[in-house]
Amino acid sequence: MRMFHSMRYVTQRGVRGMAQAPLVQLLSVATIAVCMLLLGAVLLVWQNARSIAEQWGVDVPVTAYLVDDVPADRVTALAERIAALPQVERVDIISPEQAMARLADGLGGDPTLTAGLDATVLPMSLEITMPPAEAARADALAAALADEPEVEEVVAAGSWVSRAQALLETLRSIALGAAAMVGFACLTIVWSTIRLAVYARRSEIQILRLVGGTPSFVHGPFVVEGFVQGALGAGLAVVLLYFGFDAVEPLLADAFALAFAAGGLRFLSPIECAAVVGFGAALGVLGSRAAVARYVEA
Amino acid sequence: MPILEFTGVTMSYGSGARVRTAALRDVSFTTDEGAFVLLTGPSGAGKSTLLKLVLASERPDAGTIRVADRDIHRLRKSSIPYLRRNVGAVFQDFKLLPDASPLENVALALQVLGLPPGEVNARARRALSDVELDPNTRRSSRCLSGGEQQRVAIARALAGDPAILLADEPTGNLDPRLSREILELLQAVRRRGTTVVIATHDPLVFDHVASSQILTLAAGRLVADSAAPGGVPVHANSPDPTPCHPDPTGLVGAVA
Repeated sequence: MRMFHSMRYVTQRGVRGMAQAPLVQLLSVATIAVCMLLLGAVLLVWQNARSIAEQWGVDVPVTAYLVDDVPADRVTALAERIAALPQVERVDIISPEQAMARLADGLGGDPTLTAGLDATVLPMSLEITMPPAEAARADALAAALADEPEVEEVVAAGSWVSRAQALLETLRSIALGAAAMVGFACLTIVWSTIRLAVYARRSEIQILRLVGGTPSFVHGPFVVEGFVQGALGAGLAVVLLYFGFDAVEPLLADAFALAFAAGGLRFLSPIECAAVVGFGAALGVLGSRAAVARYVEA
Repeated sequence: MPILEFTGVTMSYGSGARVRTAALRDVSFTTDEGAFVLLTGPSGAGKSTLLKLVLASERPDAGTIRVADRDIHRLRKSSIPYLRRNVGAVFQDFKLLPDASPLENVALALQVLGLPPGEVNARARRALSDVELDPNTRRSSRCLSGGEQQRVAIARALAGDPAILLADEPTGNLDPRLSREILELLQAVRRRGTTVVIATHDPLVFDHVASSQILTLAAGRLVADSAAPGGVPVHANSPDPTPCHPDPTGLVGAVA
């Protein structure tokens, strides 16, 4: 119960501390929002590029369609044999039912479009995933698989796959670089803001220590400030990103209709949005703890 | 029963052998529970350092300090706040939050205990009433007189019901009338059973306080302890022993 009352005090004091310097807080939240907006935008671009690549089958450079009525043990044996090849990362056996489900999903989930279609009209297939570095060998693998008696037809995505995967890798690197830069920027912003607050309230810190405040009790209000700044900044960034996406998405959909034929652009999922806000809040906590640590040692 | 024991305590400030300044040298004494202790000596004698050691704000270079039979410098850092909740402290510069009301200042010492808001409010009000201040005043502490600020500081130190009250020059910034009021208040605190330790070189304190122990420091050494067996011993190694009476402050000696 004492812990509860202490936490309540710490939270209230943190919020009251923010209200004591609203302009500083506003600037801090706005700057964090701009940084997180950059991160969110890069994340969104990477996310959609990956999604389009998946829809185009970039992640599955070789698909082998099997002849009808191949016994299951032979399918499994063939899949294992292919998976053992050094240039292959993974082999997935796709049944006619799974293929039908994907087809229905690709058609927007409208059951009327696939009504009356029997799954058995679709062949069983093997989806062969290759590491990005091996994607250039997709054609050679396809040619080798075409000679297998169980295989009726092989589709290789071609050499553009390696280029698309390289682009995805670049985007991923940019996203990681942006995350690192944004992380550092947010830490610096929160650290500076909290240092100002610590300086303004140094007498209070000294008094709290002298009357028996534990380090967590003394630095708690500042951590609350950092948490709120980070979470608000990141939340604001997500909201701005959403409206920006909402404005740009129809223009992109019109301009690149072919590219998005298999599926439109999508915004970050609720979980991803929560992760961005959580990332901002975590940066706020880290920055504030770093700023206040020296002042609360017993 | 002893509540405060110093045994061979030595403490220096600064770092490196050449720049270290000795603040206390081989200080040993015992104070019983419920005592009213006057800690005296000229400026720079080590009075404030001794109080800081009891609060664990500083660490001794050698020796042991026991508060309520616990060696406080063997405490882990995380335990120091709990020691401070049992040792109230009043400072010469009051150390109040200037923009907060007396009630808010006193409440601070109770909020660290994790008490519910209702209890914090009730105990803070009672502590202010005990020092004859109006708990309902909305004036900020900066608008209070020196005597009122000192009363708030005492109320804050006593709010948590500590076993020991330390006061560093509690009359240092006050005129004689306010000083007398504060001294009467501290004696009332002692009558409630709290051990009171006052560091002072104010002659007025010796005229108005019935102390049970007088410790005299000079150049970091304890040169007299009125409670020591055999009366008022003088430290054998003291280069300039300062007697406790009739000039406990050392001021006459300093002038002469």
